[in-house]
Amino acid sequence: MGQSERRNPDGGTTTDDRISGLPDDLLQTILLRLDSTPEAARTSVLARRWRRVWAALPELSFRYQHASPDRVARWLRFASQRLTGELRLSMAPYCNYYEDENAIIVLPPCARAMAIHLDLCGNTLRFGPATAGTFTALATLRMDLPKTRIVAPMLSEVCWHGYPYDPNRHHLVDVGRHLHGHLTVSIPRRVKQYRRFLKNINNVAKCEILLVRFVGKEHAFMSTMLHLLKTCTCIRKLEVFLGSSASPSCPSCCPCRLPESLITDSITLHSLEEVEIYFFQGSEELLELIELLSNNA
Amino acid sequence: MAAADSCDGISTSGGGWEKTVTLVSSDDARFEVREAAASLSQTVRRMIRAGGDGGIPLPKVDARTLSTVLEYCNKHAAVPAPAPESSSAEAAAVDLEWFDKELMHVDLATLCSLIRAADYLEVAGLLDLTCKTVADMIKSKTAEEIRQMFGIQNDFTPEEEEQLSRENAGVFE
Repeated sequence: MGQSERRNPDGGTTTDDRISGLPDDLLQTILLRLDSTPEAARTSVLARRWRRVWAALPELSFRYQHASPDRVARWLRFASQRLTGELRLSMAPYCNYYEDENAIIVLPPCARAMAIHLDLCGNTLRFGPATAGTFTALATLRMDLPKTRIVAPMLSEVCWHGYPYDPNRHHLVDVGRHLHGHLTVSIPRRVKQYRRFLKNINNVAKCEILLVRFVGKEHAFMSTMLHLLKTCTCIRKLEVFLGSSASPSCPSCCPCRLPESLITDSITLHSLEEVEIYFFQGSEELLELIELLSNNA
Repeated sequence: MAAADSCDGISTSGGGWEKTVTLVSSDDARFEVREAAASLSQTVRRMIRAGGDGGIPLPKVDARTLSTVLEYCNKHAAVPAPAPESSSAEAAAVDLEWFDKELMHVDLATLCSLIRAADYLEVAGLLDLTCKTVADMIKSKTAEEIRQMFGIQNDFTPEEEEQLSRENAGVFE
């Protein structure tokens, strides 16, 4: 029955106090039925026995009709010091605005959180500054943020959803060695921005598994893919989703048309094991890519 | 509750044949129960499958608690399965709800024993019912009210209390 594994109360309870004598897992079963984490957390002030019971609840639930950014920030600060599992934050659309600096929610470093899943729906959230500590245990990060900068040395899976991945805005500083990245890329049309895009895409250099989704008519599908393959030298699995036909529609001075953008010499795909390509319409560029991959595999 | 021996677990009940099992509480009281009712306990169900005779020993549940657990099981296992959405199904659900409510009119000590027993015997419905009952008692009460209700001693030092209120400031609203 596993009774022996249970942590029993460490004394200090009177004989009349039957409830404090219940093992932790049963107290947690009771607290879960409150269906409100703030209510459950309030029991931590009852007595020493109750101090940490609520903190091991398998799920946290807050049902605020209108959560002010200030209240969310207070909870995040509280959770960041205690959380060991997964943090899931879903917010109603646009509770705070960019313009208001005070309304930006800051998520302080959660040293022990393993996964963070953010559905911010247009609200602004900033990861706490690296000087305040890092997300030491964070393995999975999913977010819909237009801008990120996070230090997470154990990060093994990252997914940006809602906004296209933008290497100029999505910074991963010091991430894990076996990164699994999901990127939706929208390639800048302007020459200057495209150059910057390529320069900064090195962000995902550590990706071993890379899932790239191209949106819109991409002028630079081939050159971007080549750049990614040159950058991600330890890639094991590659998945490419191509929305529409990749027909070049950019000016002839565009860097994607430059001969050096299409040089394939320095591509070594020693670790590549698996490739999956999904597309609606084939194109010459796609065929070139497939040929390149099969020649190097 | 009749304490009849049934080594093979078969006996008559009412007009027809119905399989029964004998459960033995920690204080050696014997309860003869229909197998369908006893099987609401996953623990008992496993022990029935494992076989053996002379009754199923339940060393963690005393007679008083076990009789209440069995009252719950008998009621919940007795419900036939009428067509859903029929008026009799609705009536049966209301009846069960009423029964559950009445069953929870017990003192706190009994309630805690029932929680332990429901957990040990793995009667999911009863565990849910008893835990929900306690949760409803906690809901919307202040810490002091909860302490008084359950007889919980506040063993924090004044310094610790101060630290707690500082840590929790504005969080548990």
